[in-house]
Amino acid sequence: MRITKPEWLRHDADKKKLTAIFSLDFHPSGTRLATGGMDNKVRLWSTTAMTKQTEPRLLSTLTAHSGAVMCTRFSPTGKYLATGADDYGNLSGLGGPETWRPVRRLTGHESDVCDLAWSDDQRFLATCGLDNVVYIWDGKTFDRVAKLTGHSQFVKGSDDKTLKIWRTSDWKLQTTVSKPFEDNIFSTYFRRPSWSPDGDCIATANAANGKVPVDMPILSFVGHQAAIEAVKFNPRLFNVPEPHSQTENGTAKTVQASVCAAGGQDRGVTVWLTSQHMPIAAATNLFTGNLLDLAWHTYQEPQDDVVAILAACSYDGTVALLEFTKDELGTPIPADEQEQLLVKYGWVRSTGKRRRGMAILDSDDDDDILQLEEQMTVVAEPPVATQPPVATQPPVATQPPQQAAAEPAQMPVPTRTKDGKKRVAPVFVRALGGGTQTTAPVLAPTTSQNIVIAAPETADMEPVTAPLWIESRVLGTRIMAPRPKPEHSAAAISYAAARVHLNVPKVVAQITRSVPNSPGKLSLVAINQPKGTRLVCSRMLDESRRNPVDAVLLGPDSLPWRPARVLAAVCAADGSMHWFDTQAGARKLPPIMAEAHPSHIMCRGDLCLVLDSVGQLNVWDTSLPRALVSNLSIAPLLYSAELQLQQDRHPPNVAVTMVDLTPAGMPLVSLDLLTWLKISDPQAFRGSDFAHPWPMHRTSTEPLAFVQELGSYQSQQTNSHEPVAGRVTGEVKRAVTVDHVEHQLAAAALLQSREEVVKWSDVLMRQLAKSGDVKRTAFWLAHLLGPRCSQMLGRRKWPAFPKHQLLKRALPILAANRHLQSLVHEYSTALEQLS
Amino acid sequence: MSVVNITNVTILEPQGHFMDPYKFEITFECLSQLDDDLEFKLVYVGSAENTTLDQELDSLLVGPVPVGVNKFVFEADAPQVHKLPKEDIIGVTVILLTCSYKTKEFVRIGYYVDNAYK
Repeated sequence: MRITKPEWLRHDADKKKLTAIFSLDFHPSGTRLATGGMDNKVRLWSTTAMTKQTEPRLLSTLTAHSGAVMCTRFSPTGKYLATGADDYGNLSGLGGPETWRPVRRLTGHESDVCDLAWSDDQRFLATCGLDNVVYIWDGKTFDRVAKLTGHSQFVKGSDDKTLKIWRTSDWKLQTTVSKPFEDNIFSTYFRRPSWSPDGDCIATANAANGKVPVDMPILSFVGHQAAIEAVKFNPRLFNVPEPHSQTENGTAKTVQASVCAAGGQDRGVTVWLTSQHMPIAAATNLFTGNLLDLAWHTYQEPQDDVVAILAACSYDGTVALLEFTKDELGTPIPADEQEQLLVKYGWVRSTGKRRRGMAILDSDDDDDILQLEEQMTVVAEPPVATQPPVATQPPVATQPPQQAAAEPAQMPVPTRTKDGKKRVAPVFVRALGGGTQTTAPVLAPTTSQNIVIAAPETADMEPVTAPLWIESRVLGTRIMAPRPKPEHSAAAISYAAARVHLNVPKVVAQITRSVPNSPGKLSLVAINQPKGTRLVCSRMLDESRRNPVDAVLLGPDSLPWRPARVLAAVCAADGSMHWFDTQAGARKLPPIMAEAHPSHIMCRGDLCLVLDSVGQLNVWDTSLPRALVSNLSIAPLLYSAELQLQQDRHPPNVAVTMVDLTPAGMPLVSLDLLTWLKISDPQAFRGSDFAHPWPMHRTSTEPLAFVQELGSYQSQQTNSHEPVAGRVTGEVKRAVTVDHVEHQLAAAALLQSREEVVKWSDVLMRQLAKSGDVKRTAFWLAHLLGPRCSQMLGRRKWPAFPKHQLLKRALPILAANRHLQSLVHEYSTALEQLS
Repeated sequence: MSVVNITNVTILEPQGHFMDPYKFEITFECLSQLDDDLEFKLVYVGSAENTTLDQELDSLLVGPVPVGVNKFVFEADAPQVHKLPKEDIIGVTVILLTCSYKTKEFVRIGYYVDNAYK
């Protein structure tokens, strides 16, 4: 590896200080390097001059921007150079040998354009700006194709550090990845993600030094001491010799790997191979300022054994070049071979099927966009020419294009308006390129997507509550599919209320279900034979040792279901359900006759939850044995969920806690009520101060917040035109807030979420203190105190924590308000008497 | 971000008599619905030193504007010679094509005009 830092490569505004260089990129031929800097100029340098000290060095200067140039990117064919800058516009330049002419100025951003990227085949150019918006431009006509605003608002101090991947085919949000960013503490100026050439992973900067693969578990490159600013994959795959695998004649086994370079605030560069965990090269203290951008170039023919060159630019205004030889990186795979390899992996070119979407990092400073074509070209005259006509002439419409200026006169004749002005109607030429209009594409609320997002989140919740929550979502989707689409909404409502139809799984010859969380990986296999059915429970670890734990003959055609560790529920085609213990294979209870075929079954511990095909929910505790919930219809849920799909005006998004079963199996208040409680409804309390969920720590200690956040996330999906809730003021707002807080408190109590009860109780007391509402305060204090006579001690406890503690916390808060002080005094004495 | 972007202006007859009308074929894109018309104006700068000598040659209302790429021809009369200072008639001067929406100007394109004897 050889490092060169040419001294003459600089953007200097006043010859004394170096101005920062924000971005750089190699021309695809490798002969030129474009750098964009804070001095509003883009300069093109010769790369051979850098490596071999030949002349000339500075090839041209492009000065069409009026703001610092944030990003420069060559198109894949080298024809265009796109630059994005602080003056909110991008320019694309058409390249001649050394002359670059602005082809088009792309306006549309409301704030600085931070990054831009071309798609592989030059079809699209994406630009992103500080206004949290991504624009996609068509490569040929440079019209705006789509506008994506999928990120949350840029609010100082609160970050939505997620990586969103968009599909190129229809610009819809594909997935959101947010886990690696949770422990991120550094803030950086740029965050440039980069796709690996095999589409497998995205390297993201500033994710606590992580690299995020799209499908695989996370590999992380640890080693940078400070935040990583830029990560760049070399677009070519390499054949890398595997270490310690030399054969006799000296040729080593090769493995394909990608090369990635990372650089950051620690001002150095490291280079990694995806096949190894350690960097193959690290250059520290390369600069005196933050490293801001990286660019790779791989030579077609290695020159002097140099296979690839990496350029890095930094805030201190210098550029460094690192050259790598074959021994360090391996041999690059030629481009056509690489395409063949990628096709093998299922990569389809230029139809957008490959998930080569844009990866957008949302951060508190800026968004990055990958992909999209260059649109802008920067105009410049070669440095030899003397006049700078660019500066004086306006950038737009300087040269009339070749299209025929003399068209047949189809133009409409202007008319006169009332006050004597001429008026003419313009001739419509065509629609905006790409077909999609400027309104942001509404993300279709396909409920199946909800599962993808919801499921991994709930995985680390309390084991008891989580699976049932997943269930509630899964069921929601299953239901929608078989239902025929009603024509009118009125008919739909009555249909939903009348009957419910759910999917029933089909009977197949052999069904296998594996037991979760069991040592040795038990699995339950049901083999349906004409004579009867055999149920076999075996261990999957070792095929040879298949010891059937039990072999049972059942009625024909049985469909086994998910076994829990202890309990396995099997339901047969004749509508009966059987329970078995998975460890011993013993039958626990006589089979039950269900009303209808079960659609979905879930077992947890000793409890079994069944949802049958007519929408009745049953929960049984097999150890007691007792029915905890019996024939509870889920029709009310489906009603509201159905409306969601119909895109009704105000879809109530109900996130449901079906049953909250603690490990001990104690029934909760909702079971006593034997009905559904609407815990989370984002539409209900929009005027309150707490309408938006608090900054999320999605831990298991805040189930209420979790549920509500999920609910509001869903509502964001469906409601892109939400009526503004900001109109509520004054008295009304206060009343709504208090109401909301009381609701939260009750819901938290029902969910047995101790922390949240405490939190909301404090909030409530503060609200009451602010409002000075004596009657309400008296009510709540009495409620917290409980009955004064000690005979009814049973009602002292709110589930899981004593009310008196809450009362003790509340009294000092309330004492702040003068009107309440007599109350406070009264209750504090009562409290002392009781304790 | 501007809703209306002028993508092209073609000058029909770039060379003509001093008294010939100015003809521009203007192509612009409109990204969302507008409730008002656009007003295009052509201003001839009589003298570089004095802005009171600017002459508004013509103005044109364009509407209703559909969403998409549209074009039209703007034809404006030549300036009135008696209002121009004598020393600035021959030589290079500037004409400005501006567009306003609801009386607020949002784009201005300038051209150099060279007046000379044939």
